[in-house]
Formats: sequence, structure tokens, C-alpha cells
Amino acid sequence: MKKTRLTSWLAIMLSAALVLLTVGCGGNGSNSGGNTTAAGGTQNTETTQVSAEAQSAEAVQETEEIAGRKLYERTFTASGTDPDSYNQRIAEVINNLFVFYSSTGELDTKLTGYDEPITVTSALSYNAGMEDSMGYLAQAYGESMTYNRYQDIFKQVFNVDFVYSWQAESSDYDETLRLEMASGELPDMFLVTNQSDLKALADADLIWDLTDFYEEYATDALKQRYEVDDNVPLQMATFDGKLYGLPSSYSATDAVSYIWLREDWMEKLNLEYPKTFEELEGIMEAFMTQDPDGNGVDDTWGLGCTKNLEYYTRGIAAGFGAYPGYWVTDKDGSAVWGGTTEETKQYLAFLADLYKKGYINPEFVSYNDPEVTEQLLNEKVGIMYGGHWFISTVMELHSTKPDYRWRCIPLPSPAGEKVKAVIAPSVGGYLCVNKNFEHPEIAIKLSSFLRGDIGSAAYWLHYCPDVNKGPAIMSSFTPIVIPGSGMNNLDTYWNLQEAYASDDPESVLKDEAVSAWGNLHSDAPNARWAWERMFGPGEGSPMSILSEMYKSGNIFYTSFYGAPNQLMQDNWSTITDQEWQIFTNIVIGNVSVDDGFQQWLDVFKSMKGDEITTYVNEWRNETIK
Amino acid sequence: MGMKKGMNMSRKKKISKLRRELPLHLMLLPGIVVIFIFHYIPMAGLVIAFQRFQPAKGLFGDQQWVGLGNFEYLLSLPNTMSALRNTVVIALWKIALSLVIPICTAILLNELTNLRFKKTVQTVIYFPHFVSWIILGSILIEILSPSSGIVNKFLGLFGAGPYFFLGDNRYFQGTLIVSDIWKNFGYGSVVYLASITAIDQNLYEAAAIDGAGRLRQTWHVTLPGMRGIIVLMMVLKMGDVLNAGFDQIYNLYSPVVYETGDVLDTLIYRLGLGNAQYGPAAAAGLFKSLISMVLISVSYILADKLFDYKLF
Repeated sequence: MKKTRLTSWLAIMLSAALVLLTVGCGGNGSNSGGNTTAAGGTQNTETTQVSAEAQSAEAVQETEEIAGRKLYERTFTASGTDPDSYNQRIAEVINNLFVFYSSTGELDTKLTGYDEPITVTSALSYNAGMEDSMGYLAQAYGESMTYNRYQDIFKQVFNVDFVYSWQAESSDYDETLRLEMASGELPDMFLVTNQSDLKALADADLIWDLTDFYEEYATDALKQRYEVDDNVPLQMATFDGKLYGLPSSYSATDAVSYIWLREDWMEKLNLEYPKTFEELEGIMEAFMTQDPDGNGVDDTWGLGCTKNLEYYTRGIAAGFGAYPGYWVTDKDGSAVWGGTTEETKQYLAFLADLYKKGYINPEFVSYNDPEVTEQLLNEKVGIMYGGHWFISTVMELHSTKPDYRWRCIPLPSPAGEKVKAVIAPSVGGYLCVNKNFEHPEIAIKLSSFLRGDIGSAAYWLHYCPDVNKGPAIMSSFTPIVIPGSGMNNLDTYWNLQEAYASDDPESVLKDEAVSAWGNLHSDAPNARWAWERMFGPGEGSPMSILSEMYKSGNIFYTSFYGAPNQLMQDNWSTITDQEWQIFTNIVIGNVSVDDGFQQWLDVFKSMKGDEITTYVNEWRNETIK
Repeated sequence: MGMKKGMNMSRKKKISKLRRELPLHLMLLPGIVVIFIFHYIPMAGLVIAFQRFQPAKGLFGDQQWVGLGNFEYLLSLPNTMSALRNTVVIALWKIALSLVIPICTAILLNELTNLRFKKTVQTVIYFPHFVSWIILGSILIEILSPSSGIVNKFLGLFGAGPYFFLGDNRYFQGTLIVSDIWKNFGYGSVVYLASITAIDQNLYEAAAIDGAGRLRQTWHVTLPGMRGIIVLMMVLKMGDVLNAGFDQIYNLYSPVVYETGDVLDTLIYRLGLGNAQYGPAAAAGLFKSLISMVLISVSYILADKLFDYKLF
């Protein structure tokens, strides 16, 4: 009897403990989060104190003033293997910006700091590459994902403390943000990567209308950045005439697809570079049958491709004047979906013919990017269409095989005529300010500040080079946006060519060219090779081809970059999904070109594609004209 | 009077029984609390299935109600019907084979007398269960490749093929089913093996004395002994009729095999979540749950009627 009672008490207590544990778990989760931040905070102040004692004289000097403006007390202390060079560089960046903005007279009017420290919560979107580079930066300077050089600068210059409420891998960022939206727990300042989300936030009155703040606080340097692109990025963030976010645009020309050829194979087989598609087919035939890799087996394919048919054959489509993934303007000046045009049909017929002749590996439908990269590294493919960064996916092989060379040529077309390429404004994100936050101007001030001329210190700030891996793209770590320009790559390319022609190249360099120049002279041979192929002097680089296309007026903007309406949100993904399903079936010959294309047009009609086209044209009339 | 006394007696009995079992009931509590927090409270979110949901307006904010609009929208998509058909076909095959093959494996393993060999086999067939489909996806693309894959090279020795298992609508479903069974049958067989070891050895002796050979012993002793667990697994698996395996299919399919490989989950993922269409996605989830509930209930009743099997 006694024993059973004991056991039952034991059981009761055990289960009670379990209940407490499980219930407690939820609460503890958030608590422990808070605790860690608090602990981190204390740790920081502690180290500050310790080092302040150790090098008090230096520290006092450091926090005094730069270029005649007082700095606020910093909370970060550089550690690691090279803290001195960190401090020196940060001081250089701030000094250069102070000098620049003193000269424009904006330093004490638009870019004022705050006497009382202001805490801003934000969110960080990161990717695996960032984690890698942070490992290096933590070792060298003691920076971390949660506190880095940008936060250090903002603290010293504006007395603004940035705290990350949460971090998410870039692929999960949108989902996490929407969850926060739904539960009403948005950070003070955050990046919205999706135009529809931005519009939804604006409609729900959750974010500030930044129009007036932009007028008052944006420096000329920031405004010029947007004007270069005819304010297209700002238009994308403007609804009913009100600006709701600071867009961070990056290169719009990234939409252009180039044709890449194995230069060493061309030379080995003594072939002429193709101008027409017929000549291109000849090269494919030669690569397949004449054993360019010299292993004695016909194991090479004509054209590399994956199941992402749109991207890997965009350059072929452009050759036909077809733009199946973009809104374009027809002869009458109204917008049409590129996939529905007669040119797209011709492009599909050509691809189907290539496939039938065996130039494309039939397995492409099961390939993702890694599989095609593997084929490239195993030298099974010598012709690829792709972005200018294509070369960086194959640079690994260059170190073991210096003779492994690729080059670009002007895009071939049916009869050798010049090809027009479509570009699309690309906005990586819009910086928004929570309506509950009292200082929306901080977003504009900080973005403006870093948009100033940093001079040669820009390279270290934005692309801190990791000696082992080449540059780390630091700007991904900033909680604000540093907008680029849609024509960034071209500007950089032209600037670099000036530098190559100059006796004193370093003095000619501006903006991104500073970092590009660093990459072009990097210690990492693979990266240097890849950058020379993309931005270097001489023929055969994608940038030289882009420059030529731009100068001859063969680059044009897509016709629609507005936020989708309800119908478009409901139906558009289904339409494009069906589009590429049918197109893939046409290419591999499951359905004839005529039947397949008609089937696609029927789908477009039945999914109300015509109504969507009407909406797109209405948007054009309101926004562009 | 007597009746009243009797009632008192039975109440007393009940109370003392409750007292005796109270600790056991309390042990249930943590589980119930967890289920309540993580499964019942989130059900409130099902309202999204009937809304044009916009995250910015808040979870229980001023959302627009659309009645069954989201369900109609799902049915109006061009591929829904074929995706539904694929889902059921693939899932039924997987359910059937994932019962039969692990049971056979378990029986065969049980017959092995060399303990070390038995354990090795068990570990080897168990292992693929722990590899995620992202990794297995890449591996399968390689080994099933028509030009360089080991499977087609092997078939080529007999003059067959090459077959494009992942890019041909004729083979794609079969590839999905077989590779899924290959990944998971080791795991399934462990459960059945455990139920076999629970069978009373005396029954085998008795059967042997009656002159039953190995096959007869399996048929008359082993299988009936496993009946309980087999019926239980079958009932539970029926709930998966609309789960054809998202991870697997998403990593292996391509537009060419949408016709036979696109299932409800992949369709909804491509069309709904990519565009933040929460309403339709929630509607699809609700639809799937309802079907699963009906199927589990029906198969449970059948199990009760046909096999006299009771879980509750």
C-alpha cells in the first residue's frame, strides 16, 4: 500500500513537472531570446570598458571629432587579428563622407545626429554566402551578423542604435515578414522585397508615407542616383502619388542574356564566330562531332540548358525579337505579353528543331543549375546562354586548366541583324518605416549618408576582400538601403575603361568601379580571371557587348513594372506556369509547334490574360505617359 | 433502500477506481496540453480559407470574406483535376506497397539465424530513411540519367533502354513510387519486426508438431499474430491518400512530367505560395484535412467491422 502511494505521488509530481516544462517552453523561448541579447549587450559594454582602460588615450582621441564634426560615443570595439586597421578604415570612411557633405553644405542641414540615442529595430535577410564572409570578418575585426561596420558608423555619426529583432535566410525572409505583418509585430525599419507586399502595407496604413521626408532629407547624391534611371525605381514604390519605401535598385541590365562560347575550342577546331543562327548550328555540330575536348569520344553537347528554359534560352529568343518572359510594346504602342507574339512561336520552332537534331541534351528537363555547372566543369558543353556572371560559375576550372577560356560574341540572329534586348528595373527591396516609429527621416538620412562619395575607402567598406575567397558583398549586412543604378554595370564598365586608358587609373575611378578595380587586381587568381572576362579591357566581354547594344539603341525597358492588381495576383502565376510547361513540351516535341502554341494562347485567354493586358495598358497610360 | 445502497456502492467503487488511476490520467496531461496549444488553437487560422487574406491587415483584422470563393478558385485552375488524380494514384500505390514490402521484409528478416548478418541488413535498408530528399534528388538524377546513369548502364547489359525515368510520363510515377518505397521500407519493416518478436514461440512449436512447414507457420501463426499492427498501420496510412510526398516530387519533377507527376501539394506550392495566395493555400489544406478525416474514420469503422479491431 505504502509503496503504491509513493509511486503514485511520484507519478503526479513527474507529470506536473512535465506540464510546467511544456507550458514554460513557449514563454521561455522568447525570454531566452531576450536574455541573449541582454547578455550580448553586457558583454559588449564590458569589452568596451576593458579596452577603454587599456588604450584610454587612443579611445578618447578617436571619439572626439572628424573633419570638424563631433562623433557620438561608439558602443562597438573592434577586436580580432586586425582591430587597428578596422578603426583606421572606419575613420577614413566617415572622414571622406564628412568632407564630401561639408562641401555640398548638407552635413549640418540634412544629416544631423541625435543628442539622445535612438534605438531602431530592424530585420536582417542573409544568405549562406554572407555567413561565410562573416566568419572571416569576425576573425579579422570582431564584427558579427548582429553588429557590424554599418551599425558602428550609424552610431558614431547619428547616435542611432540598430538592433535586429530577427534574422532570416533570404529565401525565408518574405514568409517571416508576412508572419510579422499578420501578427502586427513589424520592426521599426525593414526591407520589403516584394512590390505587392509594399502596396498591401501601404493600403493597411502600417508604414509611413515618406514623400515629405524624402523631399526634406534626401541629399542630392541620393536623388541623382534615382534620376539616372528616370526615377523608375521610385515609381515602383509610389502608389497614388505617395512614396512608401526607398527602393534599392540594382542592375537592370542583368536581364540581358549573352552567348558564351569556349574560345579554346573555337581556336582548336579553327571555327569562325557565328553571326546567324545557321552558323551557330554549324558550331554546335562541330562541337558535337569533332571532339573539341580531345578525349576521343563524342561526348559533348551543342547547347547547355536546364529545366529553367526561359533563362537559359533568353538570348536565342531575343535573336528572334521574342521576349516570352516580359511585357513588351507592339507596333501600335500598346503593351502585350511577350509570350503571345508570333516571334515567340518562331523561337520555339527553332529550339524544337535544335532539340530534334540532338544539339540539346534531352536530360535538360531534369537538370537544375548544379547539374549544368557540373557538365560545364566536365567540359561537356561549349555553348551557353546566360548572364554576364556566367563566367563565375565556371571559374573553378580555370585554376587547374589555364587554357580553359570562354568569350562572348554579339547575339546571333536569324539573318545576322542586330539584336534588341529587354531590360527590367530590378529592385532588391524597399526600405519602409513602421507607422509607429517616430523618426521616419532616419531611413532617408542614413541611406543618403552612405550614398555620398566615399572615395577609395568604398572598396573596403562595401566589398571587404577576404584574401581566400575574394570580395564579400558587405552591403547585404546593412539595415538600410544603398541604392545602385539600373545602368550600374555599364557606368562601371565605362569608368573602368577610362581607368585602363589613364596613366593614373586610381584617380579616375568612381563608385562601384572602385571595388571592381580591386577585383580586377585581386590576389585570388580565379576571381581576377572572371572579373577580367566580364569587365576587363578588350573584346569578347559581355560588358563590351552590352555597351555596344546600349550605344546603338538596342536596349529597351520592359513595358510594365507596376504592382499587380487582384486578377493578376490570382491568375498570373498559373499563366506563366502553363506557358513554360507548354513551351517545354513544344521544344522536346511532345506536341507540334502549331498545336502547342495554339494551346498556350487558349490558356492565356481562358485565364483572363486579355483583361490583365488591359490593366497593364491602363497602368502604362497613368504612370509612363 | 437496497437500490440506494447499491448506487452508493458503485459510486464508491468508481471513486476508488478514479483515485487509483488518477496518476495515469495526469500523465496524459502534458500530451493534451501540447496538442491543445499546437493543434487546436492554430485551427482558428482556418478562417483564412474563407477569406481573401492579406497579412498586412492582421490575422483577425478586417479581412474580406469570400465564402467558398477560394475553393472555386482552386477547382478552376487548369491542372487541379489531373493533380488530384495523380495524387490519389501515387499515394494509393505508395500506401499499398509500403504495407506489403515491409511486411515481407520483416518476415524474411525474422527467418535469418545469423544475428550479425540480420543486424547489418537491417541497418543498411534503414539508412536511406535518414537522407533528405534534397540530397537523394540529386543522387537519383545522376543514377537514373539515360546517358550516364548506372541504372541505365545496367539495363543496357540486357539490351534494354535507355529509359528516361525522370523525364518521361510513362515512367515518372513508377520512379516516384519505387524510389519512395526504397527510401522507407527499411524503416517500416522495423515496426513489423517488433510485432513478430512479440508472438508466443509456443505457437510455432505447436504448429511444427502439427506438421506445418515454414510457409504454413508464417501463414497461420506469424501473419495472424501481426494482424493488429497491420490493421493499425493501414488505418493510419489511409489518412495519407492526399499526401503523395511533396519533398520527393518537388525535387524530381519538371514541366515535362507535370502531366503525371504534379500533385496537389506541388501545384499549390507553385501557384499559391509563390504569390502569397494564403486563402487558396489554406482552402487546399482544409480540403485535404477533411478528406483525410473521412478516410481515416471510414477505414477505422471497416477495421472494426471486418477485423474486430478497436483502437479506442
